[in-house]
Amino acid sequence: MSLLAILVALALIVAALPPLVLGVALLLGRPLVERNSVLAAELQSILMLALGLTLTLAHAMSGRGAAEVRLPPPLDFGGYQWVPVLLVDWTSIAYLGLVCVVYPAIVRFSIPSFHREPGAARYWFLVTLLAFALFATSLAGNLDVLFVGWELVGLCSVQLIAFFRSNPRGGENSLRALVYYRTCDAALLGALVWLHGSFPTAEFLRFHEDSGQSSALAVGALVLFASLAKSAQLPMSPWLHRAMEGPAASSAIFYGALSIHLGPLLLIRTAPLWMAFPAIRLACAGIGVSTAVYASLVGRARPDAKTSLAYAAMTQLGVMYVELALGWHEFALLHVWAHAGLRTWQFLRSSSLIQDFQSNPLVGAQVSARFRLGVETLSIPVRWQRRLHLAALRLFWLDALQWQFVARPWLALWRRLASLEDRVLAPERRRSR
Amino acid sequence: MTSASTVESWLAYCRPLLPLQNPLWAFIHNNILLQLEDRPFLDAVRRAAGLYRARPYESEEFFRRELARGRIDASALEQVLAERLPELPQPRSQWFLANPTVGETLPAIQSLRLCPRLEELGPLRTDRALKDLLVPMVAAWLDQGQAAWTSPLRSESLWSVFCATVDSAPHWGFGWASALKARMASHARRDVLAVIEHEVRECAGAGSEAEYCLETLFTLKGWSGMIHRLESEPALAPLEAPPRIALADWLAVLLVAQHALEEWLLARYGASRAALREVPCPVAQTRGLARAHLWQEAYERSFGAVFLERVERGIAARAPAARPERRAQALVCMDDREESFRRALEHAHCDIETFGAVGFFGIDMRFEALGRSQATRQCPPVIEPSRTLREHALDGEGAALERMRRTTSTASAASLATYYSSRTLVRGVAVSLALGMLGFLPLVLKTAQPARLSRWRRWVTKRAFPRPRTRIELQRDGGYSLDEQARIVHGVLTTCGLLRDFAPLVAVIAHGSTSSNNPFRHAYGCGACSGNNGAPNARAFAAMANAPEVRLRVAALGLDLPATTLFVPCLHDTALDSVDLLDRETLPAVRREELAQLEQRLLLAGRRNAAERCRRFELAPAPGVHGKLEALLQHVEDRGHDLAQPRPEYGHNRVAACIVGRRELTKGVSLDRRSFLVSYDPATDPDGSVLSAAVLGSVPVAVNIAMDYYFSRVDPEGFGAGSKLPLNIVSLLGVITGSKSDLRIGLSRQMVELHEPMRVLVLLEAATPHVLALLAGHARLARLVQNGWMQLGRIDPVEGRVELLRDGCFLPWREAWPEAREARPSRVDMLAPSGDALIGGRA
Repeated sequence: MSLLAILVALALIVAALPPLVLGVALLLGRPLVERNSVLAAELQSILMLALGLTLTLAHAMSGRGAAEVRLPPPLDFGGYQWVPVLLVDWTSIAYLGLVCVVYPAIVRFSIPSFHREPGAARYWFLVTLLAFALFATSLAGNLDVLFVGWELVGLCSVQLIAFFRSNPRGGENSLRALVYYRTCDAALLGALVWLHGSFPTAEFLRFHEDSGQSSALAVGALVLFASLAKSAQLPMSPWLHRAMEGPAASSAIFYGALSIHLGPLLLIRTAPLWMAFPAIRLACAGIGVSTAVYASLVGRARPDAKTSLAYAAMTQLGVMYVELALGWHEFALLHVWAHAGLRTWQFLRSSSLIQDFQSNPLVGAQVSARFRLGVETLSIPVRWQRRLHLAALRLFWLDALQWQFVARPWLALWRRLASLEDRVLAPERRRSR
Repeated sequence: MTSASTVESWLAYCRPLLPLQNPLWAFIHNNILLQLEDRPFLDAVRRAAGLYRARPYESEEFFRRELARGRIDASALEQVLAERLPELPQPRSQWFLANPTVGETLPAIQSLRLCPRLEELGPLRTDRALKDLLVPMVAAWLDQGQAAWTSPLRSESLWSVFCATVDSAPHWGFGWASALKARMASHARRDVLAVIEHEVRECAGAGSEAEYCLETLFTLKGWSGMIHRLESEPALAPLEAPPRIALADWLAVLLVAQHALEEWLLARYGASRAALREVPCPVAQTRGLARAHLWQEAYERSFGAVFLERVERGIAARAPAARPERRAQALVCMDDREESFRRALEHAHCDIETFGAVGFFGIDMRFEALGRSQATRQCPPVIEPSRTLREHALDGEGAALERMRRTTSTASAASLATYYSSRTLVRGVAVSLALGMLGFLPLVLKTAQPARLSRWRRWVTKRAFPRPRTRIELQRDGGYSLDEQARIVHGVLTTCGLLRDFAPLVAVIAHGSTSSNNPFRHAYGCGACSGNNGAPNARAFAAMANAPEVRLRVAALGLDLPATTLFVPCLHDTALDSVDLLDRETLPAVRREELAQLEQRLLLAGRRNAAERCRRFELAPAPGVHGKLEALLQHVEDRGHDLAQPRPEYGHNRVAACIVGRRELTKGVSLDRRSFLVSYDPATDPDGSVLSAAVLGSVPVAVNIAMDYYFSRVDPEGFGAGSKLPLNIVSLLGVITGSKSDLRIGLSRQMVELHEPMRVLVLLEAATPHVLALLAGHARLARLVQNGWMQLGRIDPVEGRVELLRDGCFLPWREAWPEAREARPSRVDMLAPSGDALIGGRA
């Protein structure tokens, strides 16, 4: 085994151990005491940082563009092998680097903030699991591995939205987020199955060899759709403001930095599949532009700190989708980094706003002036401005639209089918009920 | 009565009972039931429980746990039961414990609204449906500049904003949209008061209209309270309140929305309004209050006995009257957090005599700091500031001043532009690309090394952009005349009994608190300065007291200040435990040596205090193991600067008492930061006039703080702000939980975690006639005492007896509380020993 392979395997083990220990302890009903949970997360974050640095150095010194590491397949049945293929190239290094910088900061931030918080053990389990999932996602060399990490990230995200059990809104909102995630994950799974069916392999490095295949269009489209929920792009965006029920630290790491940028990562990884099709690129750009405009209108109308940040992040993600469609993938990665740095910082200090405004001597005069002049108002008639503002406050009714015209008919269909089944298959039971 | 005046009378009934919290920008501690103080405590909190739907006492389990732990003295419980439930067979406490309905004499309060009854019938949470619709609307309308896009509707009335909102909503926008639209259509062309009248007459029972309005306003109590506050005092708004703000509009909005929702649900559930209204609907939180009150009394008496015993011990160990020659004295705020600091100052290492004054030092001003656009309020909330003082650069600082002007205006403009631009589309790209990578730097440094980063930043700012040296102009632009200044100096010194034996240096120590990323910053400041930092008051007071012209006039009032005595303004940071000497350059250069020594001793006291505070910080390095003082100091400093820290210090946690009297009473003993200490010397006050100044400036503040902590502690969700972690700043006015909740009131759970919810025990060192005269002359104080919002006692100035007020006369305290006759050591450490032993319950 090469040095790189050892490093990668080590990194995965290091990342996987803490959530394993914390999770098993939770399952057994004996959560670790706070000090030990914190210790596990801290160790994980520091080792990950060290391994990330080593990996970067090793990769830089090897001088190769990309190195694949194949681990022995743990799953093998019916001709399908789940092969853990990990890929070290500049894209994975870039995303991994982001994880290795942001994650330790979030761990450090969470220590005092989750001190004595009921459910802290749950938080530490989920956040360490997230770190492992992100490691897997960013180092994934084929779609099979990426899918695992992708799913785990979604799981952690949903669980943390519902972190405060006493807040009933948290549970409901996390269910909504889960629905959006699952819808898109189904598309990713579909893409994966299709790939295994009609392509020789699902490895990222081989994609460009097969991109001529006609079915690549369908796979590309599925992948594009699959990326929408994680990055909260239209039309899969209405869960994002609902995710703000969680604690600030998790909002920062998920929706400021590491989870929300997974969409661009997936698209960069699968670029050879879809870049050849102008239709997909056009769709990607279209989604990006409309999301950016939509989110920036909502973001500037909503007056609470976390929602406005969430929509600001969504706006920038929209721009990244346009960059991706244009083929500026390196630039998009740079944008991911820069944006993650800014947004994480803003999320973490979102509670400072009152203090910031109070100590800013210009606020008295200048912000009042903004009030009167309406600096931000667009050059459209007043009547329309008012309608636009009211609609933006309500997220352009997107949430309701989807609920009313997609979710409810869908649920109704199943309900009807269920009652049909009852009537046809178990008439006597129904009568007795 | 015309219909408009009827509605006005309903509104007038509601207004005083709404939550009275200010925007967090100007947060002050208040007894949230201020308007119910004219009722007995149990009665008032029962009423509040019905309105806030919150428990006003700790739970039965809590009290049982405290009894098992020994925190509640079993004999105190027995005694309370003997007094309140004499008919109970003995042993009363066994009956009480075995039967959880014993002592329960009050029925639960019935809710008037239909919504809670509808929630029994189906899964829909009505409050949430209302919040979904109303919170974004009202938040955007009240916004103070937090959103980049100011609402184009903000100059309209809330009612018309609501009309526009409903109008713009599609009929499928939410389930009950059609019902709401129909209801709105029926109100077309009615004015707001008529709408209210129609709605109330339709849905409320006759005779309970006003109460029905009140209950409706309490569905979103935080927003209702905020609208009421801004309506009655528009100047409280951080920038400007919406010009047409009115509670009537909000009430109309709530009524219409609520009734439309009810109608929709009634149709869905197939119920009728009239029938459903007859269904009893008790507010769960109002159950079992009379019993909980008995527990509460036992809980308070168990503490009170230990506390009074400790005070007695202090009195017995009183030092002889002759004061030794002091090198320095200090005027410190009465704040309970300064109790430990004062002990540290008095410790043999520092040897500074201390006096407790009210931390605004008699200066009722607003203060405009150099480079700030808004003045801060520097006096207790009960006093209206009489004038505004400004800070001016000293002569010869023109260049520095100019540079500061330029840099602050550039920096502030840049930070505002970044704030707004980073949330937009095109500029957002530019900002994130330009600044994003830089964001990692503070992200890593500030989370890893909070205190060090702040230290470096201060170091750089000091070198690169030095702040000009300044002074506070006392007389210019309608400031204080020399006579007024003399009266202030004389008043403060007289009240705290510092009339003779002046030391060469008198430190005037104000306090403030450093915390980072903390929307509740004002709750940690000096309560006597309305939550602001008290430094300007200390500076102004010292400047007054040092001015020779003022001293002449003070002498004319009968108080001789020796020419050698110098007043030194200082600032104690209660989070970092640092002490700074202020205005050093205005003090005489010849005394630099002495001042340096004073500073050394103040710093030493700060360090001792930090070490004492660390005993209750669970994350602090354990003493003994790596108990190096340096590590503890570093820990305390990190707490103050840490972005993530929800507990920068422990504030007024555990505060339970207030002593107005000579410091000698309790000098020898530790009160474990549980008592406000106001210095007052009865020997210099033969007619009791000074007593009233000392008490009225301090005791109401103490009650406000204790009650604010009390309610946030007993029900962090109903009366408090809940956990700090999901709090989200909205409209620059306050915080909400998540993205669409009610505006939160009170303090967050982390801020009151260590608190023991008790009404404050006030001890006055004064002769009985003086105390009784004081009560007779001051309505609020009398109300507080009579209705049990505080416990009043007195210490005899001559004999040192401790007595408690019972039914209008003072009894020796062991007679009032017979269970304390034989002294038994408590199993629980309610007052930490004076030594350095470790105590439990760390945060």
